[in-house]
Amino acid sequence: MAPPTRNPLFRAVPAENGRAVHLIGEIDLSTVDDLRAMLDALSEEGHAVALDLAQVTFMDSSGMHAFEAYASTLDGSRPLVLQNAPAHVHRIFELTGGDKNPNIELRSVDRRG
Amino acid sequence: MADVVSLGDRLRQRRTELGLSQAQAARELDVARTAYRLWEMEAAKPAPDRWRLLSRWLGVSVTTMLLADELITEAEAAAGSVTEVDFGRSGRDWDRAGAASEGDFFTQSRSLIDDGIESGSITPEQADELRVMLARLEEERQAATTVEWASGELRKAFPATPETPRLAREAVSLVAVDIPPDVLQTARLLTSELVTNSVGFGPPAASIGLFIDVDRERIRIEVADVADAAPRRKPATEDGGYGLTIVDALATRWDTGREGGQNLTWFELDLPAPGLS
Repeated sequence: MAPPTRNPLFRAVPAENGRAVHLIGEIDLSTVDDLRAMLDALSEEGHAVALDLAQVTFMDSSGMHAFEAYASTLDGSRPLVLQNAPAHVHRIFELTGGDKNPNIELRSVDRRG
Repeated sequence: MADVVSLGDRLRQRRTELGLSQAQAARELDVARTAYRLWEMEAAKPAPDRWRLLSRWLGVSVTTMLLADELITEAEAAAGSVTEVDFGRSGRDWDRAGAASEGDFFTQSRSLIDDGIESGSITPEQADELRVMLARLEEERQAATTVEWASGELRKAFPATPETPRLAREAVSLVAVDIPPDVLQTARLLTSELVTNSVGFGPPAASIGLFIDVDRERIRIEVADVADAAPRRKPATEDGGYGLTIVDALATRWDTGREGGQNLTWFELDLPAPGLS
């Protein structure tokens, strides 16, 4: 039962055009620290990058808290853009009111335009 | 239960036994070669929807296989605390799915026996014996598939760690394997929320009890922890505050309270009648 050398359950992969970062895998208590660290790194770099959630296979409220904590550090001029949110992610945002957060722009798969 | 072999070792052993390359084994298991290689290296774990296929390929029960895969730990297995893992529902599906190939098995075996007599490699008496055995096997298999299938149930204690919500979700997928996908998705989410709350509330090294019960009408999941304070809806500004909000919005029924010195929170999701959706 050797532990995996790295966390294969969640990772972030920059898109080739550099405008988005794909989040891949499961966001829960065991991976949310990785997400928080990634969000911190993004804010230090200081340029607008959208997070693409198309390949998030599971997310619970742990992920919601991480996104909201990050959004609360934004000054309101530029929201955190979450694109291609699958239905199960959109549902969490709706249930927790995260979809009404002025610092988060949630674009779901079925609402692209 | 001392001979717990890791999944990676098991896969390698079986593959060697069959004389296959990693690429060939991956093809047999219908996964990418990279994924298979990672399984052998134990750098990745197969997803729950692969478990039954894998266990068949390895020739071991799903439980035995999972002993190597952390869902059921070696220590717990040795202590015998894994009380019940019932794969009744999933078994029925396997029997159905396997019926065609097993039909092939019986047909093939009969023609092998015929060939054996023709070529003189077995005597007519031996052939008769084999035919009787085959007939008995076929009869037993048919009897097994007509038996009413049991509901799925699992009761298990997990140590409280950040991994526990995921392990609990995987356990739900394993036990509630043939419920409608949307209900399973909700059950996994609510389980994750409750277990996350329990990990957050509990004192260090506390254990979390999980009970999963699936019957025809509903899936019921109970999560017990040993935190001192009664669980309550925490303000949404604190971590964990959304868990019960989500449970309240999506569960058909739920409640929380104290039972036997533990906090116990349960929820139920009604299942649609089979055949309707």
